[in-house]
Amino acid sequence: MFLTRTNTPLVPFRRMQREFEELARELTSAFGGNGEDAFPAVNVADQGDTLLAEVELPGMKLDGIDVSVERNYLTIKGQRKFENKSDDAVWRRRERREAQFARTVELPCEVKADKAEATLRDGVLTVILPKTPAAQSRRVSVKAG
Amino acid sequence: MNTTIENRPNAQRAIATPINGGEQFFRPQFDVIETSEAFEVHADVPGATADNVEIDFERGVLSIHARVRRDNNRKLVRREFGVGDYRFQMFVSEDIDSERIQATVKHGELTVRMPKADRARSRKIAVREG
Repeated sequence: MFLTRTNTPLVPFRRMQREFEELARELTSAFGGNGEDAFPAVNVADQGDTLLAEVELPGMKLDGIDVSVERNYLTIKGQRKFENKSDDAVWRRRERREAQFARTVELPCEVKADKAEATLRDGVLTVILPKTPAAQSRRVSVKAG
Repeated sequence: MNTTIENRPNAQRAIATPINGGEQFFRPQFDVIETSEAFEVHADVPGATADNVEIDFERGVLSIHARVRRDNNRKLVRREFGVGDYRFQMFVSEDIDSERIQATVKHGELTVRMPKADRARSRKIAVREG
């Protein structure tokens, strides 16, 4: 099949679609939502009886980070600051953000907040979140018949 | 001065770029700072440690490869970042004293300091009244 990008009637619509997608991304990240640009980025893995959350926090130390858990919500707060460089320093490229952040992500089930454990290593925050007994019992194992 | 970065289209942090047989690399977010003495690159490489970073400087091109251990067996219920090695290259147009390049990795942050060669350093020239 031969496809050509020019002179197809759909081109303006594709552009419009891209612009809408862009707008949607900007809006979700502006509200601290789950847009691609939300900082910090969070991965959550289901490990059976526990959830394992990993948060990318490069360049940060534990004393600048506040982690809290309530029911099925994990909140990470903190501030990222870069050390001040010498007076004659000029930025030639700047992609990393210096900012105060607060982010709440919804977890797939309720967890025991008092049993949660967080460690920070090499710029990755790992939070182990044991599930509540109710959340554990909801899992139904299906065996091959 | 001109600092150009070899940047593949769409090679953002969150988008994996498959090179050789599906292995995924990530381009880290980074800053470049210039002082009268040196260029400094600061890159976010969460998960990487000093002993797993290779840095190479040849003919004005700084190449960085930071290895990150990945665990593909996890059952992810939320995935906002990919885990894999970081790679990037940067072209520096000014002369660098490559013998004195220093790099450190701390808290998932890579810093590369590239001192300028003597002839590339800017000097203030005093202007006297004639």
